[in-house]
Parts: sequence; structure tokens; C-alpha cells
Amino acid sequence: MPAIQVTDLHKNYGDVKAVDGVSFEVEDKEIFGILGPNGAGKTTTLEIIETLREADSGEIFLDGMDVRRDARKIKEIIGVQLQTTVFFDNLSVYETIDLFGSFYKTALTPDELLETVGLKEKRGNRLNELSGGQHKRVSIALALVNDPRIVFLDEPTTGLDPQVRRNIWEIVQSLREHEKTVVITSHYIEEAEFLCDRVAVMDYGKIIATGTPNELIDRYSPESNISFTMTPGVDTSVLEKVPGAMQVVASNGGYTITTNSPQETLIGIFTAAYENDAKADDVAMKRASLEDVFLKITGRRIKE
Amino acid sequence: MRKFAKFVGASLKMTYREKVALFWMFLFPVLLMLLLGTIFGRTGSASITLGVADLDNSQVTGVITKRLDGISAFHVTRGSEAALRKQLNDGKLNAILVLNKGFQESLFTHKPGQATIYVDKSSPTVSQITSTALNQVMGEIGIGMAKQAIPNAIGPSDVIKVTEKSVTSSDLRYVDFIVPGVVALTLMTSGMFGLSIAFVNYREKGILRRIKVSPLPLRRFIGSELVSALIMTLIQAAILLLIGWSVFKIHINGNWFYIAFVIILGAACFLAGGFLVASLCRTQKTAEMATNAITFPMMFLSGVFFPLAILPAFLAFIAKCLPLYYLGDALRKVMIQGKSLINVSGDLAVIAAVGLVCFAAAVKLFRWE
Repeated sequence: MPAIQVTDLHKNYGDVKAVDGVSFEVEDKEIFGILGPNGAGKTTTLEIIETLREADSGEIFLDGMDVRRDARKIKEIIGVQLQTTVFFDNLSVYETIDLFGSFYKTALTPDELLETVGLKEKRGNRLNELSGGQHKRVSIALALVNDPRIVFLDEPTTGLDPQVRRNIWEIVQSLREHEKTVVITSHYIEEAEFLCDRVAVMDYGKIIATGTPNELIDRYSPESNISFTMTPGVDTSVLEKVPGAMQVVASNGGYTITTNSPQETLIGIFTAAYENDAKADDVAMKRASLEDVFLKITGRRIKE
Repeated sequence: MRKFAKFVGASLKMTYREKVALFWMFLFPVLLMLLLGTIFGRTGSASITLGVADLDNSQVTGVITKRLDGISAFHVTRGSEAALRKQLNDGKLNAILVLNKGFQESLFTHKPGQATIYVDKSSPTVSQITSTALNQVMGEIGIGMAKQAIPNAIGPSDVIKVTEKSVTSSDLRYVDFIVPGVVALTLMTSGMFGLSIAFVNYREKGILRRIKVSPLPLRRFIGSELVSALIMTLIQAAILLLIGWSVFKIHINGNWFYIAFVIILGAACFLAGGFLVASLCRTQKTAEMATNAITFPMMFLSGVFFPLAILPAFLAFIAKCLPLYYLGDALRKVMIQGKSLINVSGDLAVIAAVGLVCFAAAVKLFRWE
């Protein structure tokens, strides 16, 4: 039985179809990402699953329990990190976690949780004394306070600098060891690629592709880009004859060839260099990313 | 239950750590009371209002009353004993001197003339001054008469025999009036502000949504917030009463159980009001404005600072439309006048009704986000 089963979810705000027929499944102990630009409907989808909002139509089962009927039971087994940070004035980190723990039948101790999110030294600080990244860690600790089976993280690294983002990623990775099922939304490509076992790409309220990052790339954007220099330079028409070459672009002394079969193309590049008495150098090959997948499917970049 | 207590404890802790809120909750009402009590509550008046009833209507008593007229410390009113007694009971006089019938007759038979003074004991300092002054003056008159008018008298103390009786007037001193008023006012402001701002703040920060995705039932969340706000309010009321009692020597004549009941009911009513504001307002700013808009007019129009009697009729009418008037009235009657809950059941009914309506509306309109 999948941990989460979402079928044909719809949610409209007036004329805006925020969620427009979303279906997906999340396997047990999987880290599942919902990737898409701002306003794609990621958060709305998540909040419907979390029991925060009601769908206009569609079915959601968590651990076999219906969200509409068993909301109370579901709330005991899910952990939620909302985009807005939880922030009681005048309570310390420890007290905040302790207080939220009291809302559940069973709860982990604040000290265990602070250990998990690496915030032990801030245990006695008030929340308004913490940095943005520390704040996020507290809200992740709160999402884990009831030792949930399923954890929802809504854009856990938005607005954080790269170093801090890495730290948060490590925490999310560690949830794998705790055997949690994790659903994470993001508009950072690297984040989804780095963290997620599987990714659903979402745009305009619809899921436009689902799979492991590799599957998606193979399916939608299997090309690789090979860039190199050639001295002396050669005419692009020479390079266009290289086996597998789909597109050749020349720019300030360098070339980029887009190919479906990188191995043949690489051999072809060196052959062409040899035949033209030229020297190929600075050869670099880059596989497509989820960004290219998104670009391919929607014709837009994920971050405008 | 333990979990409930935990939430209440956390709320109390948060309030305790909010120093600005603490100032408004505790220091401000105390300062207000001290200020009003000191400015208006001064009872050591320059002249003592004295009623004189001369029942003997003789030459000797005529001399005595004339002497009294000449003493600047006394503001003398003449009249029948009955009329003066009524004025004393209404608090318009500090004391009455009654020169009994047969006063002159006694002196001729070498017995002291009989006089009675009635002193209003409702303000201890004034009554003491009055009583001392009167006894002294009567003594002096006695000595004078012993020397001149009644040469046969044996000694000065034998000339006039004063019997002192004490009376407690129904009139309230201003301090007696102001203390229950400030308590009522404090119950209103901390009730209205306590919940509304905190709730809207929680909602704005998304704390309410975070609570909503936890299994904590709404009623337990609201319940614990109400209880912690109630505890704070009761502490406030206790402090104010303590100051009223120790600094201003107000007479708490009422039953403590009744007083506590009225205070808790009033606090609950205004907490419900604050909760309703929280349900209606989206942002902290609007909640603050709405709460001010509700509390300010009530503060000045509900007769907590001044008796309704001195207000123009239309303002008195407005006061009677405001719940704070009923709380002030009930509190004053139960605390100072020692009335029972039955006597103020009308006030209590209004307070309870307002509270229930606000609470029901607030729950109905409650929004998590």
C-alpha cells in the first residue's frame, strides 16, 4: 500500500484552477518531491493532503485512511512544516517544541529533536534570536515532534543562502535513516535532484511529469551538451557532420554540440580535429538537468 | 489535563515575559487608581459640616449655638433633629450635635446638660477629626460657662455631658467609588486586549494553521488561552483590591465569594468580547484599532470614574447601553455596599448575556487563517 495516494484532485479559487486534476502516489519511506515554479499549485496540493484545506473534488488516502473522514487520526501520523515559520513570542526553542509535543498522543523529547536538526546549542534561546536557517530547523523539528510516519516539508530552503540550504538538505537526508516518508515541495531544481527519489513536475495546477530525476531526463531531455575549443578554429559545417551532432553552436572560440549519443560524438570531435590539423581542448560534457526537462515540457524556465 | 495545564503554563509564561504588556496589565491600572484616588479622594476637608439641633431652645443653649457659629472650623446648619439625621445619613453632614431637652433645667439643678453628637463613621479620618474637634469645643464652652454664666457649677466637666454616637452614612466616598470602577475597567481592557491581539498575532504568523494540522482540538486551544487570560486578570484584580484596601482604606463590606464571582463573570464576558474581535479582524493593526474603538468610549461613558448622577441624561442613557456600566455597578454594590448576588442579578444577567453572545459569535466566525 502506498503511503500517499492522491486521485484526481481539484481545487478552484474563483476562476483560478489552483489544483487541476492532480494524481500521484508516494511509496513508503520514499522522499518525493513536487517541483514547479511559484504559483504552480504545489503548496495548495500539499495543504489539502495535510488536512489544512478542503478539495473541491478528488480522493486522498494516507496510509489507507481517507483525509476527509479520518482527519483526526491522520493528524497524529503526519508531521508538517508550513512555509510560514512558527514563532511564539517569548518562548524558547525548547519550550516551543515541548509545547507542540503536548498536542500529540506521543511525542519525542525536545532534546532528541534538537539533536536531529543540529540545534542543541540554541535550546534556551528565544525564537526571535534565531537566524532564518535556524528558524527553518526549528520548524522541521516541530514537523518531527510526533515521530510521524509521513513528513511534509513545504519549500524548506526558500530564502536561505546556499550553505544553509546544504545543512537543511543533510537533515532531510537523515530522515531516510529514520525511515520516514517525506514529501517536499521546491522550486529549486538542484534540491529536487539532490534529495528526491522521485519527482513530480507541476505547472499551472497540473502534474506534467513524474519519475526519478534520471527517468525524467532520459524521457524528456536525453541530450547532452559537449563543449570544447578547437585551435585553429574550424567551420561549424565541419562539426555538423560529426556523428550524433544535433545542433552546433559556436561562441567566442568555443563550440557546443548537442547530442543524443555522446560517445560517438566525442570520438567524432577528436576525429574532426585530427583531420583538420587542429587541436581539441577543454572538452566538457554536461547532461541535461530537470531544468531542461521543465524547459522542454513547458517552454519556460522554472525561475523567471 | 496535564497537557491543558502545559498550554496554560506556556501562555502565562509568554505573558509574563512580555514586559510592555505587563506594564499595561499591572502598573497602569495601579497608577490610574493611585492617581484618581489621590486627586479626587482627598477627604480631609477644611471645614467640618455640623448640624445643630437645639431641642431645649433655652437661653443657655442659645449661647452655646452662638459660640459654635463663631468657630471657623465648623460649617453649621440648623434644623430639626429628624431633618439633620437624614442629611447625615445622606453624607451631607459630618456630624450632628443635639442639645437635649431640659439642658438648661439640668444645669440649674447642678447636673450637667445633656448633649448627643452623631458622627459619620464612614470615613475614619474625618470622623475622628470631627469627634475630637467637637469634644474639645464643647469642653471649652463648658469651662467658659462654668466661670461666667453658671457660677454654681462644680467643675467644667460637669457642665456639659456629651454622649457620642456613630452613624455610617450610605454615601460613598469617591475612593470607594473609584476602586471597583478601576477594577471593572481593568477587567474590560485586559479582557479585550489579552485575547484579541494574541489570537490575531498567532493567525498572522501562521501559528494557528500549524496548530490546525496537529490533533489539538480547537476547544482545548481556545479553552487554555481563555483560562490563562482569566488567571492574569484575576491576579490584576487582586492587586488592585489590595491597593484599594491598604492605601485608600476602602471598605470591602461584601462577601468575598460574591466579589470573586462578579469579577470572574466580568472577566469572562470581556474575554469573550476580545475573542470576537480576534475572529473578526484580519490583522493585528485592525484588531488594535477595533479594541481601542470599543474600550475607549466605554472607559469614559460607563460611569466607572464618575457616578452617572453627575452625567447629563443622554450620557447616562448611553452608559446604560454599555456592558461595562453593569459590571461597575455590580462590583460596587457587592464590594462596597455589601449587597448579595440576588440584588445585582439584573447587572449579572446583562454581563452574562453579552459574554455568551460574543462567545457564540466568536466561535462561529473563528478563522484559522
